[in-house]
Amino acid sequence: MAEAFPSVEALLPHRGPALLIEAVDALSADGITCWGLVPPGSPFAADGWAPSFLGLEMGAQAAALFEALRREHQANDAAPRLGYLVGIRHAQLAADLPVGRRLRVSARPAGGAGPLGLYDVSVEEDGVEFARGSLSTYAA
Amino acid sequence: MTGPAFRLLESRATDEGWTCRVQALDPNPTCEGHFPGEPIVPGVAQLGLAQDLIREVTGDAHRLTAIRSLKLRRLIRPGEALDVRLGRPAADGALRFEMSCDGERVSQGAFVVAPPAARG
Repeated sequence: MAEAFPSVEALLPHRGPALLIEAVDALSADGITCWGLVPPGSPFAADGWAPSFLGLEMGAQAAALFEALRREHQANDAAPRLGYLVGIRHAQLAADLPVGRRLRVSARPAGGAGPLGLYDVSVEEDGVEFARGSLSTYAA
Repeated sequence: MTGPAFRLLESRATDEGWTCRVQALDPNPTCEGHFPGEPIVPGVAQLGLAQDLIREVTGDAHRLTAIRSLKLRRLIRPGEALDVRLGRPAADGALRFEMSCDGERVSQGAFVVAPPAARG
């Protein structure tokens, strides 16, 4: 039986067209996989597509979910916190994202300390990769 | 056209590339839900700005294909005016990007651009 996770809205401060993750799919110490989706109302969407780099924001939101669920596990505190993207490295932007389609978003912790996190993220659909990169995040 | 978050105020060619003056829109569509009561222009909106600025100043439909590095040092709020320095793309598409606000460094990046790829 699949593990039940809190709603994304209970874990992230993003709302409306800024929220790019629908649900958490799986969580382990090695990382998180989520279902992401570019909503048709996204300001980045045009003619059914959104730029590949928006996949990095999806990855950042997946990383924030990983941190929220880790806080819940460690301190029973999963309340949404503001977090910021502070760095991107080695990102490959392969293809624009289809709007309104469920995409698989992964974030794997790769270091960091305190409020700073380092994650390797990717966005794909049926094995076709749209974007990947290493993100540095800061949790306020 | 400068992405959904910014508008171009002016641009000027230099020996190295271009300098541009832009303003974060206010109200800003990228701040809807990002975050409620605390509007902040998402960091990735700067990537849209870079892609659209290079299209604007070159007249070519470049597409960002890689980010070698990007450091985001300062938050951008709606209404802020910003200065952008954009390097001329090298033969391999590599270009430099820098943004500042009143002399304070906002971000600094090294990107790669290429002609539009086929959509899958």
